[in-house]
Amino acid sequence: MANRTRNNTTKVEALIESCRSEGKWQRVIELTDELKSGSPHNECLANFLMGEARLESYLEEHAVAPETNFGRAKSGLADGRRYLNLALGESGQKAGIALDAHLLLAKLCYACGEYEQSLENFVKAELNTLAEKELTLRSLKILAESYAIKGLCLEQQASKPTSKFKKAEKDTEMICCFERASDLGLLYLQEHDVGCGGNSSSNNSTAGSTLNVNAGVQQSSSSFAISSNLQSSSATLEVSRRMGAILETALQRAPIVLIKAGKLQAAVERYRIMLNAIETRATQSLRLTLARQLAEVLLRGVSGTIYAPPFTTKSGGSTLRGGGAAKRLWKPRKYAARQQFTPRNQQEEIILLLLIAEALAVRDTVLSQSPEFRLARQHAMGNVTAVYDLLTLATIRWGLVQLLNESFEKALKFSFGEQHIWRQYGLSLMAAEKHAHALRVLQESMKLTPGDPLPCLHASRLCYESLETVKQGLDYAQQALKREVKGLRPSRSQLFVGIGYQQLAIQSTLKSERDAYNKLALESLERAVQHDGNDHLAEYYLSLQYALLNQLGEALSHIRFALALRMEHAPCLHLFALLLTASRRPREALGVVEDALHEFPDNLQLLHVKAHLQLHLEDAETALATVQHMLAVWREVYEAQLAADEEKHSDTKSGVHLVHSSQMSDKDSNSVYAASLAAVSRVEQALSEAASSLSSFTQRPGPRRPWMLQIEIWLLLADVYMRIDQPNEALNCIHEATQIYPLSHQIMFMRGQVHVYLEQWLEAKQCFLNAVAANPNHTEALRALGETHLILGEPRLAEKMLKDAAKLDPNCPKIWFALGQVMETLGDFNASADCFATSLQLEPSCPVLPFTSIPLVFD
Amino acid sequence: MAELVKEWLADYQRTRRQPADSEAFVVEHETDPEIAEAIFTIFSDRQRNEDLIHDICQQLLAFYRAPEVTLNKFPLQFLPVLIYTYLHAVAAGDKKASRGVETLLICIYNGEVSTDDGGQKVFAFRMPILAQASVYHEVKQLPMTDLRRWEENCNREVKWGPHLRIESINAQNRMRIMAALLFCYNQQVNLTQKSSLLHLCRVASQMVNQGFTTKSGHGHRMSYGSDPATGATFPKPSSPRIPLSASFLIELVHAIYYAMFNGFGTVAIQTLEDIHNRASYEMFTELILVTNAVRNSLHANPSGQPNDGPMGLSVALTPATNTVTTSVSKSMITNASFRTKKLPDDIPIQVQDLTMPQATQQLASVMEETEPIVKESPSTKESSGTRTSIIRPSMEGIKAQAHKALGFKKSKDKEKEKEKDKEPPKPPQRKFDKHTQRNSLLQLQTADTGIDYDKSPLTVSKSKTYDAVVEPQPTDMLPLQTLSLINENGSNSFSMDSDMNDGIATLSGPGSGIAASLHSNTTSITSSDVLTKSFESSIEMTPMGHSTSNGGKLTEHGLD
Repeated sequence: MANRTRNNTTKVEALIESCRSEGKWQRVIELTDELKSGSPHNECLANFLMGEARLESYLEEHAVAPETNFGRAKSGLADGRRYLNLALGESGQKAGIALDAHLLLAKLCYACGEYEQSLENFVKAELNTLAEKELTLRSLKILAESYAIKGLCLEQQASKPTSKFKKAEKDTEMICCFERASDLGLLYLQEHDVGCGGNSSSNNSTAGSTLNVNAGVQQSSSSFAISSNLQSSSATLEVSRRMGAILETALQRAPIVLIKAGKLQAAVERYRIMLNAIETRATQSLRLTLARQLAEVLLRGVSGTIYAPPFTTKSGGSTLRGGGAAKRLWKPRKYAARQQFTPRNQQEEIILLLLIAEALAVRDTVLSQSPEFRLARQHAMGNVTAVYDLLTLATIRWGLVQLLNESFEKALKFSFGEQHIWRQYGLSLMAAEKHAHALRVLQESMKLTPGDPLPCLHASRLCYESLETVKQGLDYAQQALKREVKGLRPSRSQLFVGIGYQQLAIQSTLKSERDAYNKLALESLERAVQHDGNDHLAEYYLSLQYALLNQLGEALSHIRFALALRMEHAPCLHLFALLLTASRRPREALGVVEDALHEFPDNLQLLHVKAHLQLHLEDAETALATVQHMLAVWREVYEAQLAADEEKHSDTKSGVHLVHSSQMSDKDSNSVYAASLAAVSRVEQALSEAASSLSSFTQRPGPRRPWMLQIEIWLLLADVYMRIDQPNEALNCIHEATQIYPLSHQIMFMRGQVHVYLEQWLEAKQCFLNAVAANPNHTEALRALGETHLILGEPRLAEKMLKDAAKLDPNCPKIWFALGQVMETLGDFNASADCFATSLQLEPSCPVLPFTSIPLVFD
Repeated sequence: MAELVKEWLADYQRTRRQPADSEAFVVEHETDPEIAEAIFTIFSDRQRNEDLIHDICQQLLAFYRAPEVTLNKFPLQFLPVLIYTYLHAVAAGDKKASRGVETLLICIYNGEVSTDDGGQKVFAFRMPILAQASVYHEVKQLPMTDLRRWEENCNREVKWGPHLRIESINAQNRMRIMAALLFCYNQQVNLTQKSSLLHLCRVASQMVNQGFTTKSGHGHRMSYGSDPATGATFPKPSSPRIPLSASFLIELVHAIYYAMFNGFGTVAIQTLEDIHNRASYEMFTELILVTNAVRNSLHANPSGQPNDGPMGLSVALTPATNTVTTSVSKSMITNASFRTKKLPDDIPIQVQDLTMPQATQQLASVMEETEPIVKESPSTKESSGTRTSIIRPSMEGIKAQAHKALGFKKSKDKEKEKEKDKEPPKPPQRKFDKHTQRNSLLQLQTADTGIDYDKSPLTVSKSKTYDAVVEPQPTDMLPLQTLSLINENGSNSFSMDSDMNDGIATLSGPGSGIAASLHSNTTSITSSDVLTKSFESSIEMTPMGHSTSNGGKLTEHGLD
């Protein structure tokens, strides 16, 4: 383009230029006609403009898809090709537009599938030798696209290079092209944003020549100002949201090409550079893709040893926004802020990227459920679930369920009916130990996946294990069983049904009810064992069921099956030991427990049995040692946990103490011990709430379970001390327990026992009354109360208490014996004899601890 | 194979004695891919090569302790196989046979959990938060949840370790140790030979499947009736189930995931399925979360399959249809309860009105704005009341009213047209569509009044709405309270109408007129539109209502 003196022409040129940068090709054609008519000297320029406009408007309508419509493209672009070829000649050289024409021609050839010709044009344009300099918006785009096209052409070139060396050379060139394209492309988009944002003020950063790349004539930058009045803002937005398929492809292609070439590190670096560039309106969805892909690369292909953290060598790379343009003209501007978070290792980078990707993806999700948005909704949903899946993979390993949980919670807003999200949300809630909440979500999940038994099983387990709503759990288990149409693993559902019945049987107080449930439980468990003969858990529960029915022979044989299937299973060993004590083989039982403790040295449950066994065998001194060991184990296992928990609380000043404590997870074997308190925990919970409202009582920090365990240990220790005739020590132990939690009925009971030992009957009676008031189902307290009544000369009251106790636990010989004594006192010798007979009958098959003291187990 | 390994063992023994050769051995060893393959073979056939396995373990241990890095890392690739061998032996109650493997595992574990200077190794990372600008983003205005996250995660460190060294493995710490070993394996999986990934997958499948394949072990088990006291031997299943923990399997999934995208897609996917099945069986929630995630990402998902491109990456272009704007997704509407045809611009406003609470709010707002016709609002409600047929005005009366209204309407048409120019007409709601289709009765009913609909459907719709508003008043006035109740049922869910076919059938002109005329329109409108529209018309028509000598109340307000 020459220096036109005539004002009119300059004005038209300026208009054309602004239209070009905004992509208004129809207007360009009109204006070019005007230009041509205005001055015939501009023939060449006009040809160029016409060609460009034709090409671009064609491409706007027809996307460049490889191999689909080359024939049509050729005919459609014939016009444009003619114009551009015209602009190539001598005059074009003179006007300085030949270079641009070549580049556009190359683009045109690419659109027609003529890759070789396209490459030739690039050679003619001397693309490789271009010097970095400031460019106009349009030129920037042409150049970025040129590099992109060259890269794509090289990639799709038909002729394979002959030698290895040549192939490597070609690869390098291709990679170089893609890299440049991505740099320039991002720069262009950034400039474009600046252009749109600051249109009214003309101080655009690009003040270079209008058309020329190489040897251009400077033009006043004020030309940009005119356009701002013409365009409507919405149109700008529309345009700015798109960057064109060629550029987008090239941007995404660059790192992939590098990975293909085996340069993983370079690819990662490329991703980082692109993500480090300041975002623009057009790059939002691109950034989502890039962030996700980089996270994928880091998750899939990079292990800890070969990872190199990003931007460790900061060689003056901290160009401030818009500032350092002079330094590196053809590099996009980067994020630069003070106290930037720079990932130092793989995990940090992955999670950071995924968090960013999540934020971007969530923003684009579609809430509307109407059918015409289905595609858009699915697309957005696909994007966001991809991020969630990666986030799941990246975080679960580190125990960051909480984070995942929150993400899914946010996702619910746009995930109506999305079964995957709901399923994952439910599972994450379970993993985060938010039981009640999880159950609600699982219910929804069940609805969404009517064929899948798994959510039902999960719900069932939640009900059994954490929510203590056995009936509900049983319903879910039966639902799961119904859903097992494929018959893949019906044994688990069957087992859960059995467990449900078993628990119901244990809980029910009416004899007829209990018998019915026991029968159903036995049936279900037998069936479960038949379904899956290799399942130790089914065998264990079947054995337990027989034990509860007092059929010890069957129980023993099944527990042996269970142990054959899995030798090292603490609950199995526990049950086995109890069964042995019930068959009058306490020594063997002790041996089993001791062996088991070799494998599970920190299992408080087993230690508890061991101490009781030692007491049973009148070996109180060793029992004392055992209990002391228990205290040591408790400290070892829980103290750090509690301390950490406390610390967490002080950090997050949130008032959700209770929530946290219920979330507290003790995944190790010890937690099972605490669960044995389940039967009574309801009452205790009520009491503890009462206690926490008392101002004098300050609850210990942290979760309740460990503290309840400690109470249990102290009380056991008190028991042991009484056996070795040290009631004062026992009282001290009880005092320790009271410090933790004063309202436990077990503490009251044990205090009563001490009073009994000291023969302080009235005090003992009061204590037992308290204990019974706190937990009316505590049979031991009932029995002790009955005995105390008897001693105090109140046999009628004693009879009442003992009959209640016998109703609750008909298999306890001690109760029957005491009842016999009472009947004797009352003079009802027939009844008395019956009671004693019953007691005698039961005694041999009575375990040291009740079978129900073994907590529920699911693995 | 055995010969090859024996040779390898002998070679190394020799080089130990002659330090000069050791370098050559190292170099040769590095370049020889066959030996690893041979060792894998031996492990897979371990029953026949028990002695050899013992020797191999010793040698691997020597390698692990060797100063040369290549030798040092060599044993790591066997970790999965070693773990499987060990766990299998333990599960089968054959601990003695696995002593060699056990020792090796303990040594590697102790080595991996400690640093070079004897301290405890800890992997820690800072939890990134979006509230802090990073190299990849700038801080924008954050939504509340992110702020909460910031509070919780600020300066938080996530750690792996420290792990105590161990002297022996027991049931309590076994899985923890195996998980830690696998974690270390994952950290260095890049260094292993690619072929070892195949063995990883196979071994992982075996590990989780073992004991599950045979349907039942009852065939060779003693019957239940037999006497347990005899102490009969309990035949063990040949391949017992291996107890596994969730955290161990999660690490295994990570390893499999790596294999999946590094050349072993098909095998790895199968292994993943196996792990998922085991996870479902054991109900490990966290593990199921992970396997679900990976499985889902393999189904139609932008994340890409292992087979497309390197690491499943491919170019994902933004779809050309960018119809969805951010503003839509951000609004807090639950669209689940209804379906509307939306015009891009009016969604946020219109849709919210549909839910009942908002509708009443709007009623209230209308009342405030237009004081004089306060009492008019109930009359609008009446329109819906009519629809639900709780008010049943006499047919004749209504028809007469309708005709009057229609006649008058024509004169009003022009005014309406003007109005229409100012404010584009709202399309009718789709649900109405359905009802009219379902109840063809309706159309029959309204046939007489619907004559001039075809001429100007839009205006008719408006005036009809108006009719609905005004007409019933004089004929049958119900107490206000009842009306509002009706409205709550009526407008909240139009679908209820279908239950009241009767009512609709007996409906007179006005009520059904709405439906019919709305039907005649192609564009859609939300029901709230109907409400508001009817308001507008009722407001502007007030004087008119007066002129047609409507009921007392209306007159009063009209006069105001």
